Formats: sequence, C-alpha cells, structure tokens
Amino acid sequence: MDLSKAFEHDEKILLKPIQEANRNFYITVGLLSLIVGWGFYAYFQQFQNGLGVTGLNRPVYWGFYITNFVFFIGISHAGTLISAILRIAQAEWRRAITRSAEVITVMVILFGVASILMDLGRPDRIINIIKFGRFQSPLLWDVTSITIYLTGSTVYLYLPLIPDIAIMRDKTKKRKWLYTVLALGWEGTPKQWHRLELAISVMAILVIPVAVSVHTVVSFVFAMTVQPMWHSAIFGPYFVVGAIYSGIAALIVAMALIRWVYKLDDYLKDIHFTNLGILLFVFTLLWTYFTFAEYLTTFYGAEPTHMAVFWSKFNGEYKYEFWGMVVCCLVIPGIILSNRKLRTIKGSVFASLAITVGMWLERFIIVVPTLANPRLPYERGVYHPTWVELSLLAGCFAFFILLYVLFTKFFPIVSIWEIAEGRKHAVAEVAGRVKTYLPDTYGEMHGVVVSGQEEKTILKDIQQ
Amino acid sequence: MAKWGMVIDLDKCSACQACVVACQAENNIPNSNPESAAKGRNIHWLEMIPFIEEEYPNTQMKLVPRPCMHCEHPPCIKVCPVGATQISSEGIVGQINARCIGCRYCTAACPYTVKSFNWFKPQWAKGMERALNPDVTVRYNGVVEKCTFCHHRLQKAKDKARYEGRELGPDDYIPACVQTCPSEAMYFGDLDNPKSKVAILARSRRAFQLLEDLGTHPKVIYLNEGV
Amino acid sequence: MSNIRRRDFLKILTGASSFGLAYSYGLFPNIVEGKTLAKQMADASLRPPEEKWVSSLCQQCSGGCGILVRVYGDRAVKIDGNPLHPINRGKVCARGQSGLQYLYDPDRIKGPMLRVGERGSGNWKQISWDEALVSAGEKLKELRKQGKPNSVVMLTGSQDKLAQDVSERFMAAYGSPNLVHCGSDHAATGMVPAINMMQGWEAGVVYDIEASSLIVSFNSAFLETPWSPVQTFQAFGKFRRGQDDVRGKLIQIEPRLSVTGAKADTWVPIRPGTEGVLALGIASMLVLERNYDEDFMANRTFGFEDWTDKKGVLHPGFKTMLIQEYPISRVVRETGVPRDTIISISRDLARHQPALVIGNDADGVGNQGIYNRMAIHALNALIGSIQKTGGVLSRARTPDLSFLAPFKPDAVAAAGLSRPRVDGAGKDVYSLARNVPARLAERIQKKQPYPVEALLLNGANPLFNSHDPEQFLLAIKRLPTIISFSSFMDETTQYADLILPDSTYLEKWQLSSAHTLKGNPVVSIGQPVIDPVYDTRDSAEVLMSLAQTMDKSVAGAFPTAKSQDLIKSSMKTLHKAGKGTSFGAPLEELWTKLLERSGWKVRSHEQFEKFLMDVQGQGGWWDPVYYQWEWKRVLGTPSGKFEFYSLAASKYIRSLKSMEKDVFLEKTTEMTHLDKTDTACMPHGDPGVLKGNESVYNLELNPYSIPILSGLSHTNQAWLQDITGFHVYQNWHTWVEINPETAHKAGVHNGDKVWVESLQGKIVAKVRIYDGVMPDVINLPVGLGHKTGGRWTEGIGENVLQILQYKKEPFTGEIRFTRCRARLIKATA
Repeated sequence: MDLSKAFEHDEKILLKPIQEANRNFYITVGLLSLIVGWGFYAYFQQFQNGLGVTGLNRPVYWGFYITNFVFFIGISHAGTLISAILRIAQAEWRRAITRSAEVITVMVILFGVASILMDLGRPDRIINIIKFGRFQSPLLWDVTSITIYLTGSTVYLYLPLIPDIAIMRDKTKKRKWLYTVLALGWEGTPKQWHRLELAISVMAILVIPVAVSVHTVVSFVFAMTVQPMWHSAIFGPYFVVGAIYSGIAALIVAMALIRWVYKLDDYLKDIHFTNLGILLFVFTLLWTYFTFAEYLTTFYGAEPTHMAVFWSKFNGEYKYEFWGMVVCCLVIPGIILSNRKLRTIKGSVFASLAITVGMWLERFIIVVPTLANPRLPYERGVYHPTWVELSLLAGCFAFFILLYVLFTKFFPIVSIWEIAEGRKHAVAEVAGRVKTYLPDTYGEMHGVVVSGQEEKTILKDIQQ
Repeated sequence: MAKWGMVIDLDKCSACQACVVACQAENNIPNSNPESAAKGRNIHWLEMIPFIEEEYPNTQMKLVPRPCMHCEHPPCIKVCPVGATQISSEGIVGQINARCIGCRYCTAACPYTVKSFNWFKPQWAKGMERALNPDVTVRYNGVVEKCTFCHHRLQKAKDKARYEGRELGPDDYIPACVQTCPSEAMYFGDLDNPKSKVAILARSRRAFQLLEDLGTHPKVIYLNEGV
Repeated sequence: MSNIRRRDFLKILTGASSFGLAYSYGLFPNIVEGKTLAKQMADASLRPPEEKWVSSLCQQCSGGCGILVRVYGDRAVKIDGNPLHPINRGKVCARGQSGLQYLYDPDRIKGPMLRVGERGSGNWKQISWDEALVSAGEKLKELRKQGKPNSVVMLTGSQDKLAQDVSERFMAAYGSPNLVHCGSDHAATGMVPAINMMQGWEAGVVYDIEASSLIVSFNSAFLETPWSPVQTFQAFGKFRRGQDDVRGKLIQIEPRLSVTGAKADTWVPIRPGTEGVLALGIASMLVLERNYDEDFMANRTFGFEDWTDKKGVLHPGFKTMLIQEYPISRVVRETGVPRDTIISISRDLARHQPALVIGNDADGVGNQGIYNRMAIHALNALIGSIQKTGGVLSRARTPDLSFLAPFKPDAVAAAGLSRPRVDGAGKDVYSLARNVPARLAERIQKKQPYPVEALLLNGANPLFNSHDPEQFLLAIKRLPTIISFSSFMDETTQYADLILPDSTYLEKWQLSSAHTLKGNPVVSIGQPVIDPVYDTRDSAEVLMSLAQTMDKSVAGAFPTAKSQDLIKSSMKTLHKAGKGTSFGAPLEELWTKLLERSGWKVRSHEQFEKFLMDVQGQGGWWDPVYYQWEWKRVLGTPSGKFEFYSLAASKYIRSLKSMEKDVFLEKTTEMTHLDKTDTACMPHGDPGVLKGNESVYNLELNPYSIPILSGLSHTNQAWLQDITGFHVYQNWHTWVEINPETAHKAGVHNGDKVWVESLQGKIVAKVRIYDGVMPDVINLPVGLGHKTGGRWTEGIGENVLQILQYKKEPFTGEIRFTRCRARLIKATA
C-alpha cells in the first residue's frame, strides 16, 4: 500500500472530529454544560453559606470532597504514567492510545485540585498556603507534588501535540491563529524532530517518579496521622496501585467512547483493548493483594480502635460501600478479565466501569469510616451527603467529560504523526528490534555476511 | 517558662457540667440548636464524655470532662499546612482563626477529636450578642476553633502582674472551667514547677492521661476514681 | 473591703487591657482579631468601656448561690461565683453559668401586653406600664368594692424571699386568703413532710455530706437534682478527697444508673418504688445484728420498742414491725436486690461512722411517697446520725427579716381573709397542708367554696406541670380575669388577659434565705446588675404600686414601692438582732464563731450603714455558728423525741371522720398484718399499685428529672438544652432509656422513634439503648415538652408528666407522679 495515501487517509479520519460537529455533539455539550452550571450553583451556595450545606459533621470532617480528590488524582495516573511507561517500553501498540490517556491526566488533575478547593472552609485564603506554607504538613507535600505533576503532564501532553498542531495549522482553516501560536513554528525539520523526540523521552522518564510520588503523598495525608486504619505503611504503594488500576479502567472507558463516537474502530482496535484488559487484570490481582494484606494485618493486630473501623466496614454502617467495592474491584473484573471469552471490548468496558465505581467506593471507604469511628466516645453525627455534594460530584464528572469532549474538537485525540511514524518506521524497527532479541544467527556468529537464502541452508545443516 | 497544665480529679468530679457551660459563656461559643445537634455540629471546647463499660447489672459509667489535651506533641500541629495551629512556648496549643484555611486536616488528625469547625457563620439571636465576652473574638464561617486554656486570661493576668511590677503568681491565671468547678475537681497551674499543686497531683498514683500510648503527652492529667 | 479593692483593680485593668488587647494579637488572634480590635477602638475612642463585677444572687434555682457578674459598659458578660458567699464559695453550676441566656433571651416578653383576640389566640397589644397598671388596678379595685377580695387567687412559683413576702403581704392587705404556692404539682418539698412527721421540724434538714464517710442514697440523684447544687457538689468533692485519709464511700440504690450512680462506688439496681421496703429490710438487719445506736434509741426516740398509750392499748414498736413484716426473704423478693447486698449495706452502715442515708429529696418525680421516705429517714435514726457531724442536721432558724411593721387589715380585707381558701388547705382532710394546688382545677370549676373572679399568675405555670393540665385549662378558661407576671410566654400565660412582665433576677433587687449544708442560715442580697434589658418591671414593685392605688389600708401596708427600701429595712431588722456577720474571709468567720461560742453576742458592725454596705457589697449575711445539740428545736414532736411512731400522724388520723379515715387507711396501708392505724403512723414500704394490664403494658416506666433542667423556671436556654442527656448522647429531644435485652425483645434500635404508651396517654421518644437500666424497665426524662416559651424550648421533646400515673400524698394532698406500666410501639414515619 502506498504510504502517502495511507497518511492522507489517517489525516482525514483523525481530523474529521475537529472539522465537523453534528447535532449530537451540541446536545452533549449542552447537557454537560447544564450539569456543570448546576454544580457551579451548588458551589455558590456552599461558598455563600458555608460548609454546613454539606452533610459533613463532627467527627466526619472529610467526606465526598476528599474522596473525590483521592479518586481524581488516582484516575490521573491513567495517562501520563501509562503512556510514559509504554513509551519507554517502546510498546508499539501505544501509538493510538497515548494521547487519549494523557488528556485524561491533565483534565482530571484539575478536578483533583478543585475538589480540595471545594473542601476548604476558607477558599478565599488559599494564598495562605504560599504565605504561611509549612513543609511539615503532608498537605503541602501534596500541593508541591501535584503542581509538579500537573505541569509535567501538561508539558508531556503538549510536546507530542506540536507536530499534530502544525498539521492542523497547515490543513485546516478554523482557528488558524490558535494553531499557529501553539505550533511554535514547527516545520518538521530533522533538527526539530530530534529535539522533540529527546524532550519527549526526557519527560517520559521524569514523569514516572513524579506520578508515583503524587499518589504516595496523597496516601501520606492519611498515613501520617495516628488515626486507626490510616496510619499504615502500606498506604503509599497501595494508593499508587489503586491509582493505576482506576486509571487504566478510566482509559478503557474513554477509549471505548472515542472509538464509538468518532468511529475510530480502525485505530483503537481490539488488540488495544485486549492488551489493556490484560494489564487491568494484572492490576486487579495487585490491588486485591494489597487490600488483602492491609485488612489481614489490621484483623490480626486486633487493636480495638482499629477493629472498630474494621467492623464498621465489614459489618457495620459502611458494609454496603465496602462489599460494593469488593464486588466492583475484585469479583466483576476478576471474572471478566480472567476469561478470554469475556475479555471483549464490551466486557472490558463493563469491568472498567465497575472498577471506576469500585475505586471511588474504595476511596470513600478509606476516608470516612476512620473518621466516623474516633477513639473517644461522644455525641456523633452520621454522614449523609447532601444535594450539594452530589451536585458537585456530578458537576466534576460532567465538567471533566465536557473538557475532554472539547479537547477532541480542538486537537486530534489519536496522534496523527505517531501513527504515521508507526507506519513509516515502526514495522522495520520492530522487526530489527525483534531480531536483536533472538539468538544470533550463524553468519553473525562467524563474522560472515550471509544472505537469507544461505542462512536457511546453514540452519538446515545445523539442524541435521 | 511555665508549662500550663490541668489536673482533673475524677473522684471529686460530680459530672455537673458547670465547666461545659462556663466554657461556652467565656469563649463566645455560639448556641446550638436541634438541627446542628442532630448533625453533631455543636461546638464544645470542653465536653463531658461518658465511657460506658460492662453490661447490666455490672454497668460502670466513667464521666470524663474533656477539654483540649494541649499535647506536648500535638498531632494537629504537624499536619496544618499553614501553621494556623501552633503550640506556644508555655505549652498552650492555640488556633489562629484569621489564618486558618478550613481544610480540617487538624480536626481529622486529632485523636481526641477536640477541635471544632464552624460549618456556618456563627450567629446569635438578636440581643444575645450582648452577653459576648469582650476579651474573646467571635470566630468566622469556615475556620477551626478549639480550647485555648482561656489564653486571653493569661494575657490579662500577665498585664496585671506587669502593671503591679511582680511575677505572675500561681493563682493569677486559671481558665473559666477551673474557676467555676463546684466540686473543685479541676486544678490548673505550672507543670514544670515541681512544687505546684498540679505537678504534685500529676505525680500521684491515680494519675493517667487519655490515650497515653499515642505519645502525644497530654498536659491534661486525670486522677482516677477509687482509692 | 475586697470588693472595693477589686473595683480599683478593674479600673486599672481597663487601662491596661487596651494595650493587652493589642499585645495579644500575635499568636492567638482568635482572642482578638484585627477587625474587632479596630472596631472596639473606634467605638470607645481608644478606651474600652468601664468594667466592674457586681455581686448579686443566682435565681436559676432556689439554691441561693451568690454570684459576681462581670459588667462591661452596660452589658452583663459573665457570671461567676462570689468567693465570699458561704453557700457556693466562688463556684457556680451549669445553670448559674447559663444565667445570661436567661437574661438576654430573645423570646422574653418585652413589655406589658393586653390580650386583644380570643383567649389563647396569641393576639396581643403592646401597652404602656401606666395603662397596664391602671387596667390591672381597676379590676382588683372593683372586686374589693364588691366585697369579694377573696375571689382573687394568686399562684406563686419559685420566687425569692422578697417577692414571696411582698406577695403574701399584698394578698393579706387586699383581703384574700388564696395565695397558693404551686411551684409545680410535683412539689419540691421532697423529704420535708416525712422528716416533719418524725422530727417535728418544718424547716427541713440538711445533709452534712462533706463530713460523712458513707452515703447510702435511695434513688436520690443528689449530684444532679439537689436543692442547692453548688454546695452539694462542693461537699461531694470534700467527701471524696477533703478529709484526711478518708475517702467517703457512696452506695447508690436506684432503678436506673444516674450520673450520681455513675459517680458512686456501688450501684444497686432496685425495682422502682420499693426503696422503702429495702430501707426497712436494711433496718431489720441492723436490728437483728444489734448494729443500731442503742443510746440514741433509748434516749432520743419514741416508738422503737412496743409501747402502751394512755388508754392502755399496746402498740407495736418499730423493732417489732421490722422483725415481723420485713424478713429478708420478703425484701429480696420485692426489691430484686440480692440478699448479700442487703446484708453488706447494713454492715457498711454499722461500720462506717458517721454515715448518712439520703432519700429522694428535691426531685419530685421519683417514686417515693412519704412512707418510703420515712422508712429511709428512719435508718438515719437507727445508726444515730441525727444531729451528728457528717449526718443529718436540721436547718437553723431563719433570722427575722421582716421589712415593714405589721398592719391592720380593714373590714373588707378581714372579711375576705376569714373565708376558707379555695384549695381547702388547712382544713379537714387537708389540715396538715399549707397549699393544695392539686385541688384548684376541680374547685374552681365547681365554684367551691365561692366563684373565683381573678387569677394572678406570679411565677406559676400549672398548665405545664400540674397533673391534669386539661382540667386546669377548663377551669381557668372561664375565669373573668387572668393577670400574669411572667416574663415568658409560658403555657399558662398564653391564656392571660394582661401580662405585666417581671424582670429577671439580674435586673432587680432580691433577697434570699437559704442554709449551708452545715445548717447555718444564710441571707443573700441580689442587686440589679444592669438596667432591665426590656420594658419589664420587678413584680414585687408592681404589686406594691398596685397596692398604693387602692384603698387606704391596702396602700398603707406598703409605704414604699421600692424593693430596695424593703431590703434596707429587712437588713435593719437583721442588724438589730445582732447576730452573725456579713460575708467575709474564712478567718473573720472563725473569729465570730469563736466569740459566739464562748457566749459573746457579737455585733459584727456597730453602725447600720456600714453593715448595709458590707452586706450588700459582699452579697449577704450569715451566721457561722450552728448549735448542734438544740434537741428541743430539732425534735419538735409531741413526745420531744425522734418518733418512729408519729404522734402527729396519729392525731391527724384520729381527727378524720370515720369515712375519711377508712379511705385514708385503705389508701396508705396496702399490705400489712399489723393494725392499719398503727401502720399508717409508722414508716412502711409503699411501692404503690401499678394500674393497667401487665400483659399489654409489659414494661415499667420509671421517670426522672433531667438534671441540667431541674429547678429552672424557664428552660429556654440553649446551653442547657444542649447537654440534657449527655450520658446517652441525646439532646433536644425526649429519649427513652432501654436495656439492650428489652430493646432486642421489642425489636427496636438505637435512635429509633417509638411511642411510649401508658394508660394515661402516649408520647414519642427516641430509643437510647443503655446498660444502666433494669430489663423490663424504661426510663423517661421529665422536663421537656413545653408548648410555648421560646425557640429553644417549645416543641423540644415531650411532656412526660402527661403519661405518668399520679397519686395524692397522704397528709399533705400533694400530687406525686409515680412509675406506671407502659409499652413501646414502633413509630412509623
């Protein structure tokens, strides 16, 4: 097949979502905007009246917002981390999915940060974090780490976008000025290509420890206190695993939607889902392992204050959330993903949806029951979220989806140049690479250059 | 430098809750109401907590007045991102309400759950604001507040002593709860002075602290019931 | 002296504090925030307002504590104890601390009001005091003109002594015998009638808790609902840790684990209502083991051994009765208290000296009638704790505090006063009663002995706390005139025609007479701390002003209309008597004590002006000397001894007509093998009869007063409402305490809403599962359920009194709310 034709075809298909917008798009945007608007209204109520409009109380000082924060930051591991790992590992099947993954990261971190802001009693004093910031507080570690991660992820999303932006600058008429600015004068010269590739690989390496650190320090917010079932050394890796777990799930869902809406079946192929499904299954097992280790340790330690929390999850007021989490994060994905017949696109998407819900519940189950079972007895409130928290949760999700949808309307959600690069070089490159994995052949062994035909003969000889 | 501490003799305490109300009156703590009570949002810097042990008919109920423990190693201070809760050189753990951003990390980290949050703007029914203590600021919406051992009284006592040109005496400064305690079960003073009443009592055989094993080193020391 | 010093100091301090305020805006800006500081500085042009501590008198309950109120400019900002006051020595309880919520209550009646709509419709017109006084005065004058001053009934509640005396004098001068004291139907007289029967001393006793080494408390929540909380708490502290090497031991016998029970060394659960049986069982053990005070029995008691009266009839003695009627097997069966516990309590009482046995005192909703209380008090005599340090001390005589010379009622008044009282107190069956508010509803409705024309409500709220509010409402609804002096729109005031709102205790002059727990008389003066917050007036002054507008003889009874003048003349009387001293440092008191003991009559102050200044400034007067061995006063019975067989009761029973007598004996002696009249004169177990079908009403309801609200006249105080049921984590609602086992059987869970139903009615309560309650018994707290009265009290919880069984007390006719049968029904939505 003629490569240039294939490139043209790619461009046409992948730029189509940007150039065209149908009725469904406007309906979707309209609906999402309504929900977002409602969320803003809910926040306005909270801002005006105080956090009293939520269901928070003493001792459940943290509820939905902190749960959302941990959850969103977790989801953010979908993109950058996965994409970076796949890049470094030179997994060729990454080409179609890195972009959609990276976008999730950048967008969702925003809502992680927003969740923290929503949780503040005095968001107007946020500047105090800089004025009076104290590095003893794990919350400040979060601030630092998340800021770096957000910056890094944005750069990491932007760098591979540059050649695509340049394509749009050259090929489309709409918003030319925007693409011109963003393309940073990309001409595709070898020097530029060289620099870009270097930058991308540097970022890919940098971003991994940052991503790991982010969710580690998020876990430290809890683990650094002395509260029962928070004060746990396993929390760092446990949170990171959970984050990647929920991240992959979110990515699968996002990819399925993109594939379905923009009819990109040719680009986001079954193999992508299968591969991600296998990865997801690995993380199902990892997550289960960590959860098991965490709860078994608590159970065997049997400290009364810890057990109070433990039982409130297993058998008490939070049993539905707890067992819901077990079903969503272990049972459903375990059954679907371990079975080749069920590990279809639909199956993986279903498992991913379950995991997304389950991981949210997991965050909730970590945050709330500990607070609800303090060490000293006293008159206690019972935590039930109000319409404000529910609206803000819905608002966050809607806003995230909206931003995602809009992104796909501005930039190609599947990297055009990376596909092209794949078409141009990858096959040969992979063949060459695979060759390097294999044992050296006879000729190479003896310093003799042999042709393919000769090689075959020699091999035959050897076998005989 | 003094290390202010409190000793509460549970054997003398009659659980009358005078300290609880005295604290509310002294520190301009807003009224509760049925709605806030049902949600567990009432603010009490000091409250009487019941520990019920054993089953009928051997039921035992221990009633413990619980102010802020003013830990020597306060878990709340470690976690505050803006330094809005700090321990003074005299060992009093205070809250800078004007700086607090309301993240409630300290409230979540305190193993004694002594800190309270202002879920709404504190309000007083018309006319009731006249009973407010002029020495204590009312708090705002969205900040954390806590027992300060009536720190404003320390300021006043120091001013008075300075005015009179003398050192601060042992009885010059006591919090409102200690002042009102009818059964005289509460003692207050300098734990660093080995001759002070509180230091002597703190060494007693009956002395214990709440959640001692957490290593917070509370400066509120209880004396157990019984011989 | 120290008061003056304090003031000087405060003047200095106000100067110093402005820089102190600025100084403290450092680490602890919650103490002074920039904005407030700036505002304060602007407001007061850099100088805070003047600050002072005013000595006054707490009237949240009738305990008689002296207080110091911090006044900042024109605002009262904090209440603390008066350190010189011998009752509370610088301390105040939760109720006392909450006084400012009473003062600044936004739901007070803010000025005189005239009803404009239907009675009870809540339509009022604000009027001026002049109009109000004219309106009230005209009605009263009219009735006097018609020659029926006796048709005016005044109901008084908890009032200070000054207001009480003025009310009495007003009614006497006006010509009505109908001053009915009805603080509440479940009157706070507690142990007094029982002790009066046995000791013949009406003023009551005090318990010397502080010096006791063992307290056995029979369902007496004396750490929650004592008549004078602060000194009781103080004494408790000393009882536990104040004596050298002795730690007082407390045994609490009660169906529910109360706060007092929680503080006790031993909690003995007992079937409700059987305290008398247990007391006699213990007494019986003491007798059997000869562990009683034989000297005291021989010299100071009557009716311990069998005796013969003048006619030669043999009467059984207390001892005989105990042995015959209260064998330990019966006691164990009826009370549910194990045999070993009974024996150990009895031996404890014998071993620990001095020991004290306390019955259910101020708390009127308990289950003890007079006979149970007599049984409990009899234990004090058996162990010889009467008039003993660390035992039961009778209150010393209250000094003469009369403020005005006696007056002569005119003809109209004399005629009015000669008519019988509406409630019938002091006559026939009620010959021993001073007030019988329980009969009012019926008598008013039946217009017996004559129609009532006007009702003056002076601190009473019968529509909340009478045993039958519905009947009471029917009775008063038809009355031509109802005038209320309440400063709150309480249930009864709602139906008034005219409201002349009283000032609170922090806004007016008052006088109180109380006793220390050592029996010393204490007279306290309350000064107004600030000007009235609203347009209210001291009700005593209003009564005096009303009197002055009337006929000459009525006006003549009140030469002044100022409470302050009356207090001054009261103090003159007190000064003349030349005993006691103004409050002062303990050292001065010791000196006075020493002098008086050695026979010197010490006049602490030669000049009256100085005396008045000190008494007023330091909060009051007291007599630190107590004569312990005044047996004549202490034992004022016909026999001059402690009577196990009450001759007063015997006389009363003999005075009854035969039919009345039969009814009386039937009611008071339910189970006995002895002669009924003899039993009716002696302490005996009186568990009362539970009405209702046991299979339907399968639980026993045990009511108790909410400690933090007991004694309060108005409960619209959020600080207190917030801590009502802290031991079960419940507030702002009526709760029902249920044993886990009972709850399991009934299928209810913590926090569920249930109906508690008795024969009398049903109420909603929240389930609180509590290990401090016997199985098949439920506890309900009394004190909530106001229909009106302000935002923090109306609609909060339920009025438990509505569903209780009640009983008329023998001798006094008081209503006693008792336990009853009940059942739980799950409430659906």
